[in-house]
Amino acid sequence: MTQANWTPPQDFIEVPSADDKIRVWAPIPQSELSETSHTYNCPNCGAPTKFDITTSGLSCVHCGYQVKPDSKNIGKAAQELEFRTETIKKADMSWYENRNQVHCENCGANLLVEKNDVSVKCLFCASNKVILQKAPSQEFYPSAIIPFKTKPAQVENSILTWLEKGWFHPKELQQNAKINKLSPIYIPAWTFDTDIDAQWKALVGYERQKRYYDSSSKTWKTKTVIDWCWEDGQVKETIDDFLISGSDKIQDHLFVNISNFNLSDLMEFSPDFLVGIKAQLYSKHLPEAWNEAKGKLREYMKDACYHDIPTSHVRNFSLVADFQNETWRIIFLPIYIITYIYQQNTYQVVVNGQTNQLAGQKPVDWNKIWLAFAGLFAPGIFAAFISLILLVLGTPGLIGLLISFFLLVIGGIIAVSIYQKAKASEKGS
Amino acid sequence: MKTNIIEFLSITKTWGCEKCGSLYLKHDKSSFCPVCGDKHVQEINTNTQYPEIELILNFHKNVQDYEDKIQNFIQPVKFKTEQLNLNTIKKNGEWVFFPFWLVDSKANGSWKAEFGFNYLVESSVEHLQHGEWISQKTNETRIDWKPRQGTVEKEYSNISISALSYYNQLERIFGSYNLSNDNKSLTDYQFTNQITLIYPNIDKNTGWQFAKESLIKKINSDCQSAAGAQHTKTFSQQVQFSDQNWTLLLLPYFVSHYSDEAGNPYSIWINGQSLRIQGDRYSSPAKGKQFGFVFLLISFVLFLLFLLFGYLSRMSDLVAILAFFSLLASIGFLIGSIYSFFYPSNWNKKNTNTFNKAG
Ligand SMILES: [Zn+2]
Ligand SMILES: [Zn+2]
Ligand SMILES: [Zn+2]
Repeated sequence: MTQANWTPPQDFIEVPSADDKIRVWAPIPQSELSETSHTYNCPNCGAPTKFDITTSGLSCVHCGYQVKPDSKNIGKAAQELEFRTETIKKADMSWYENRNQVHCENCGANLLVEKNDVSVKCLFCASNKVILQKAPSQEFYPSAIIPFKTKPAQVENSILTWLEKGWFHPKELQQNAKINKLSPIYIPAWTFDTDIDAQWKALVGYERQKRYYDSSSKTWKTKTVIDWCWEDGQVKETIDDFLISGSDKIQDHLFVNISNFNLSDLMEFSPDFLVGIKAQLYSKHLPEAWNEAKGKLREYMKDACYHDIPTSHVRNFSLVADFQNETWRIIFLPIYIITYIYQQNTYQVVVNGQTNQLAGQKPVDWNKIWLAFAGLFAPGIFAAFISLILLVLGTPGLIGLLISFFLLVIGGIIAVSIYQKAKASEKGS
Repeated sequence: MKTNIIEFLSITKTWGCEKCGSLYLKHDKSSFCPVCGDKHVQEINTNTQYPEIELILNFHKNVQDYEDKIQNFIQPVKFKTEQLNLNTIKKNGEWVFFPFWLVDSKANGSWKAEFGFNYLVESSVEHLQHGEWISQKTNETRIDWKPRQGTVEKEYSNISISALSYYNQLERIFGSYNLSNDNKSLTDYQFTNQITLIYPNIDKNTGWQFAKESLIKKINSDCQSAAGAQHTKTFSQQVQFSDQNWTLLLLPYFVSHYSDEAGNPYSIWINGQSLRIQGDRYSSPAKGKQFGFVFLLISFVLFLLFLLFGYLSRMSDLVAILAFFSLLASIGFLIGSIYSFFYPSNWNKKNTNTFNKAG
């Protein structure tokens, strides 16, 4: 067979060759998403359809038409990608910078959109659309999604229960908090896998009892000395699906507290899931997110190494943590965000849309805290008064003073812990 | 300058070696085989044409370059046989050229491959020292395997393949020659009467099998680089080869001969390009024996002295010391004698018969 009667296979395309005497064909690459917006209308009656969390399907409010999204469960097998230098070069490129409006092909209106919104509702014809845009690189478009599992009613319940909890919050919080409508949102999140091989080295001190002759008292006594020696060790860890939020919508520490997602529920991404539900593209880019993950992971490795050291005396600790086989992916996670206003302040509550785990900020009634402090210190102070009086009267009150000191210390410890809890609650936990 | 070769070829005679079967061209009388060093060579009447010579590998033409090599090579030999000296080796030396086929061919067809493309991934090592983290970036190369197909329509020239069936044996003696283009020149070498040309013993039909293999390898590597890939996992082709042209490339070496006392021949070979030297270094057992006997005699005399001094040692301590040293010296010469007897045959076991060992 000569060149003349050879034909390339159907799914191949000619690519540039470095040799003009040789021609090269390669498989046709999978086409990249081009920027399109897709409008969802009911095939029966033409009314707008939207994704219904309660029934987990696309539904028409008008005629009751129902259809399951075009997707399948892929779980943790959802494709993970390498940190290719070429990919990383593209990672910082912004891909929605130039977009601030979308054309509605349903009614012809041009809609203003927030630059990283994925799904929008047309203000004029009420149709729901999902905007699939051209990514700087295909891999930066989420390829998997965890659909909402907890129903809005369930979530509202758990919020109300949560608001009731704790004695140091305003009493009328549950009645007075103006809870805005629950807003389900898909936020982008980065997942990272890596093997970490950490080698540590440190001067480790061991306590030893030593007997010595005290010449002033002419007796043998014991004292504690510390023997220092160099030690080293190794800790290996395999990190699977370490989550970093890609969104600026929710505060990072709140995200950490609700990030008990079960990734075996990952579904292949389909725009059907986003119809009528708010969804955002990431605003935290891959290098930034990976640095954040590495920062947390290396601290985690440091703690793991310290854990291997049997004493608390450690000096000159050094550590080399080698990250290997790193991979990443970007996925959509379901979250309910609720903001409520109490006494002119806005508080955020977020709920994991899969596990119903809740984290949020709650106002603190500081009057209650001060009252509690007073109650905590009262026994100690009271005991001190009594024993002082007893002392003045000439009766032995020393033991009483000791008891009152003891009571004050206990009161102090409890007070500090209450204070910390209150602060954390205000910040959100 | 080709006239020079033609002229040279027209006045040479063909010789053949009974032992290794080589055929070669030489101007004057040949008494040693330039390949295996054997003496049983004879003139042969043949009308076989020596093929067209296209290129000669550049080589060291200055005799001086070879002398140091020879000197260093024979220097460590003890009890050298009479003829194992620089002068004899120089006098008997000649340049020999052995042939490589240079094949030109057109290639036309299609190919199919799985090529590997290098790419880099980023990784990092985090160092904690004096309470501070330092992040160090590292890179690792990985390979993507991808299918590719295509066509080739190309003329290949000077695919070089060995023209001698015993080339592997020669390679073990000479090491490999660097056949890259910068090392070849046109045949501008002035052929003197002192040189020998070895006939190819692989004909074009047999040679084509090797040439085709080597062409396909070349096509594979050309397709790989055309596609911008760095590795090949699989490669298959449907290529037709046409318009072949065959010429010779000559590879030079220097060879010299000498004989031992009994007239047995020995050879020394030097790669004309790399000056790598190999060959037979013959240590004479006769010479060893001579020295051995002399040492034995001295040892015996010293032993007698020892006995004499021993007998007289009652007279003074000095004599006793003399007796002791005589004994030591006697033992020393005895060892020397034994060494001289056995060294040559031991040495020769390792350092002669090079050509046969290379096989
Ligand atoms: Zn409908
Ligand atoms: Zn519209
Ligand atoms: Zn021979």
